[in-house]
Amino acid sequence: MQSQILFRFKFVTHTLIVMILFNLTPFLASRSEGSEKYPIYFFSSETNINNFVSLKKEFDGYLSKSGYFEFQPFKDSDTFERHVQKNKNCFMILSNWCYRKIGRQNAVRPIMVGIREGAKYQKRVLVSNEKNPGADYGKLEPVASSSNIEDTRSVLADILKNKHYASSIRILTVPKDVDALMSVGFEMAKAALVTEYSINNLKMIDPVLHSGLNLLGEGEKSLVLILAETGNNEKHNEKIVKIIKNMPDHIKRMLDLDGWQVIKPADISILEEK
Amino acid sequence: MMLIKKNKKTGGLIVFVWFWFLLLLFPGILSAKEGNKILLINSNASVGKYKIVQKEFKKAVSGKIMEIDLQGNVKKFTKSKKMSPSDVDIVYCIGSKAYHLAKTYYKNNIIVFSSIINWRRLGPTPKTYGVSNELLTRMQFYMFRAVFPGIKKIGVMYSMKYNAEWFEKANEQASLLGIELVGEQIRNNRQSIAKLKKMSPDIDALWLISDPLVIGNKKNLFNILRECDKRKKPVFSYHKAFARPSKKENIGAVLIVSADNPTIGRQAAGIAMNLTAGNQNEEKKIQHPAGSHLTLNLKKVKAYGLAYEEKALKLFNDILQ
Repeated sequence: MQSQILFRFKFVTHTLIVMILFNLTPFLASRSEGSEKYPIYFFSSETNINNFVSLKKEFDGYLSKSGYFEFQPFKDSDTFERHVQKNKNCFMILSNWCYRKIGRQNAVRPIMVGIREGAKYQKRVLVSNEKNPGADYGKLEPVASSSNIEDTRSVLADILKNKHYASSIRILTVPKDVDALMSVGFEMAKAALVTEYSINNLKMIDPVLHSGLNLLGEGEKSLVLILAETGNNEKHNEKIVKIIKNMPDHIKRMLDLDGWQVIKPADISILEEK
Repeated sequence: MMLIKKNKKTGGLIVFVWFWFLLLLFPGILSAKEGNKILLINSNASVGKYKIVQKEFKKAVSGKIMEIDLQGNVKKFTKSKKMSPSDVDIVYCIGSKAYHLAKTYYKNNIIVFSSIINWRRLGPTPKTYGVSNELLTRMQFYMFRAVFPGIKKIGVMYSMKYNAEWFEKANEQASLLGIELVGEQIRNNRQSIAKLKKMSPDIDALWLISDPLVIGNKKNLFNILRECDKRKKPVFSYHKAFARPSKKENIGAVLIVSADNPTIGRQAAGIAMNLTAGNQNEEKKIQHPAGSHLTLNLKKVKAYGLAYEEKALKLFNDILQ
């Protein structure tokens, strides 16, 4: 009698276990398939994008429909670079300067470029209240900039044609281009490195402040924003191009873009020139 | 001959000794000019904004930094081992308690301050430099126009006692951006609601400024926000907490423009470095904060049916939805 009860107990228990496993298996399988998400890392040395929390939330919400990709923004370049080096198969959205820097140590391939105000290229300009500083670059210190320090020094070296001075000039990093422009207008800085686009905005909203600024020089044109990849992701390229092209307007606006287009060979040549 | 040889040997020995003496001394002389000695006094490093400012300052300076955290208690300083003023190149003070101590013990040193409300009441020394807590009025107007281009008339309540001069200058700045500032003077916070009701039909938005006689207390703040909410008048202000001050009530300011604390730390560092390089004449004594921190209550914007510039959204650090 006892052995019968024991046998029945074991039989029921084993049956239950099998049933549970049977029901769980598809779930486990689909989780293991779906868990291979490709990261899309984001870093822009032109830190005009301030709202990373919202950006990640909106991007992830959009990407969750495809199930293949996951968005990860970074606020500093070192952390961004470490992730790129660690993960040899990833996609990235990054600034022109950053692309060139990453490209020196990793095999990177550009796929798409961002469009802003109908243009895929932008220029940064150096403005000041000083009319003619001449070679006395000390009159331009500090330079306010919303880009990171390395990027700023690189552009200044182009504009001032003086690498030595560009590497030692005092830089004040501010959150946005408009902060840099206000800093010059109200003597917290002597010069500002900003995009042409920001200057045009200032002209519309505050023409008086705009009229007090002097253009000292322009940097080389650079791509607005780049989607790139490392590693061998060709099987996902078609998917990512479609996803980025169909990016909703509100996310494009957060990146300060109107749209995206596939990069052309001529753009790649310019990008990889240096 | 032997004597000459002996003298030559002695002479050579003397030269040898002096050579090594000078060789060891010279780097010491050089390094005495390198490496600034900065005394950093924080009124209370556990206060979030003070901690951020200190962190950014330290990242941006070079030299030896000696740190003192008062933890809100000035007695901590007087009991601690004081640095001699001659051992310090520059004193950086975060908060008013830190500044008062610096003024007492290091009045002849260069002092740089930040994170102090109303710095004018400090009675700064001739060698005081700093970053005020007051964001440029022009920057605030720029943001009002950039986000809400349709808003032309902005009401502001202010007291003659604290902000008469400020209002005059703000009015000038506003007109440069095509904004009309409608001002109402008040003598105490009991007048706030009556004045608000009076100006309300004539304004597109209310600008709630930092004036102790306007807000005064939490109850009055809530009353002002409720009145504006009833009338669907957007409120612009200076403190992030005003965007959503209550979990129970759906009231709050629509647009907050405040000073960016990390930039303040970097700015103070730049001032300190320039001063230690001997460029005192070039440095403006008290500067406005160079960076701004922006918060938008988009939920309220939509609830009021306000037309806003979507492209401006990318400028915001925080968007409440």
